[in-house]
Amino acid sequence: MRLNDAVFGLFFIALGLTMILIARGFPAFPGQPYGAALLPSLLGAGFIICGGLLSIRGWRARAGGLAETDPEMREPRTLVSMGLVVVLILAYILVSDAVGYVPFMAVALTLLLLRFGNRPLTAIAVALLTTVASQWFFGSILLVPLPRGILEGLF
Amino acid sequence: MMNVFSQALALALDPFVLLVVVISAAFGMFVGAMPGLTATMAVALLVPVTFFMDPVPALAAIVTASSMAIFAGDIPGALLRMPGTPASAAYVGETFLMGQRGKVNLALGVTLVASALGGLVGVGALILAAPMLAEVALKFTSFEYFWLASLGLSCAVFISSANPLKGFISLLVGLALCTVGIDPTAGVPRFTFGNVDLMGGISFIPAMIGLFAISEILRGVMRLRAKTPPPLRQSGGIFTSVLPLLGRHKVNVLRGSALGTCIGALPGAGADIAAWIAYAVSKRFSRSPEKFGTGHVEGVVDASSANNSAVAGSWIPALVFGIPGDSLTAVVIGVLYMKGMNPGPMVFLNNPQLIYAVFMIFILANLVMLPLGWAAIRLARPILRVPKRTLLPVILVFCIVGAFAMTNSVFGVILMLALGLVGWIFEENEFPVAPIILGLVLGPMFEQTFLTSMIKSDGSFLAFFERPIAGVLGVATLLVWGIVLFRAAQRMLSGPRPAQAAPGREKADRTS
Repeated sequence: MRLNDAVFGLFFIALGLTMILIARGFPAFPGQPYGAALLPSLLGAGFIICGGLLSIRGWRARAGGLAETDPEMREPRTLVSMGLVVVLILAYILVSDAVGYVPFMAVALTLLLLRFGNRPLTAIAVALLTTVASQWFFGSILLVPLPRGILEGLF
Repeated sequence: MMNVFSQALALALDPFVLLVVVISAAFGMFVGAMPGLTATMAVALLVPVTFFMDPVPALAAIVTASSMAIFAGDIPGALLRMPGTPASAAYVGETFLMGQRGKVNLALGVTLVASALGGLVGVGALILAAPMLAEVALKFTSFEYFWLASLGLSCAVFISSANPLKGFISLLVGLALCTVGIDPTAGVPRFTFGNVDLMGGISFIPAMIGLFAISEILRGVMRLRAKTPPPLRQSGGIFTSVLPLLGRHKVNVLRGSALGTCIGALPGAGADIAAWIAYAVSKRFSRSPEKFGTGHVEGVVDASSANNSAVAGSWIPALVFGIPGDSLTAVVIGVLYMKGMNPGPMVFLNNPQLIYAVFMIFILANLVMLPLGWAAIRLARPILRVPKRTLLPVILVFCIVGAFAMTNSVFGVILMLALGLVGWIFEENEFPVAPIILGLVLGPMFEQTFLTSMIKSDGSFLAFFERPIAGVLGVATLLVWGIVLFRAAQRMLSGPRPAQAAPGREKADRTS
């Protein structure tokens, strides 16, 4: 998905202004006119200048329209598949603690593999293998506290 | 000295380290050989694992995986005409045409041996140059470091991106991300919005996994339904007739490696640029330049030794000054800091045995490349048959678990997702993502040296140019900026380039 440069330009101008406004609240070094606010303010100014240049560039290319989508992204199936990748990560953030790493990944990964067009048997086998291998490697060998969720107390 | 050497040898030849070298070599080969998965992605997936290791095995894993991935990128180049990593793109046409004439294995054998030789030359330069430069760097103050960081960042942005303005914005984004958290000089929380997780700052590994792996997965899913051509059939031995051929082109090996090392050592240019330049130089000085582009081996020799020697060359500024030349060494520097081996001249005094152990592993990695590369070429057809639809979800799981392991909480996963989306949107709109990671890694040093220098000079900018080396570096930085601004002004005055109007035209074509 390609957006006109002006869209980014305006976004970066807004970002720069916000950074400068927030940075005004940072205290300076005692006895010096500058301190923690210096770099954020300089960066904010940089964003505003570059955002301005991008906006000019975008304005000159305005014949191209505000946004342009790749042919792949006009395909609803592709959009759903990409959305599912994001949804899977979001779902992990929200529910993994309650559900647990192994059950969550086994189910979510099977669904994603099926969606991408793998055969059911392949999907289940790959999902189980990946889940068990990652739990074993990160959970047992590297001692990462992966959430146990509903399996808590089972073993 | 002998004592340090034997200590280093003991560290490098530890059985666990050797095991790590072999496993990460195989891993690097696999990731590098899959088209679309880059060397940086191999390292991004590996770093969460190295987090739990001692410094030497951790660095061994990164060194080996990155060298292997850069070589393995040649394999799908020759078999499918798809470079496995951007560093192989320069000569993918040549090797593919050689392959179509039934010389796949010869082409890959040449790139394999040339890669190993180039890597060894680069390591040699690293071993010689790094300690000498470190001696000089001992005298550096915050002024020199400030200019080095500025020069490194400026070159990184302006050399490597086709679009300097967008590259510079990416760098600003990286530096801005760095200001989140407790400020390093005054201890003030900045941009934390009262969030405890943000107080610790944006940790760079989840950010890197997001930028380089999640965005790549999203792009991969976009093209999930694109068909891959069947790989070429292989024939002939891999190493037979490689040596006589390289014997005829030994000048090319040396020239490619020397060029690659120097380009790698420059901040801002890495393996991919080294390969392009070496290929161009080879054509320029060749006795038969008309054969280039028709499946001729000469440029391949230059370019494939150049990209591997650049891997070692880029470690020179990274180890000595803590200035990364590309996204790979940015990761290396991040790992060095995590391991308490803060890059800079002091590491050569405090921990010389660790540095020498890393050098030995560099040599080892380039030697291991020969048998493992041979195996990878033999196994290429089954490896390339692993479908994207199965591979991408599996990589996604390892991204999530790796990001989680860095913070031991979902905060890492949140960071990874946020930066993954940013990375994807940026790449789609031709903002390069490597400057973000450079800014993120170099940001604290940049800010600290700047503020320290300001306090020392009592706010006077002239003091930034008073010391000789600082003055030279400062003038060089300003020159880079002057040239870029001059060119930009020229372009602005001469109106929009046709390339910028192109999307509009394309769209009109499609709708009509």
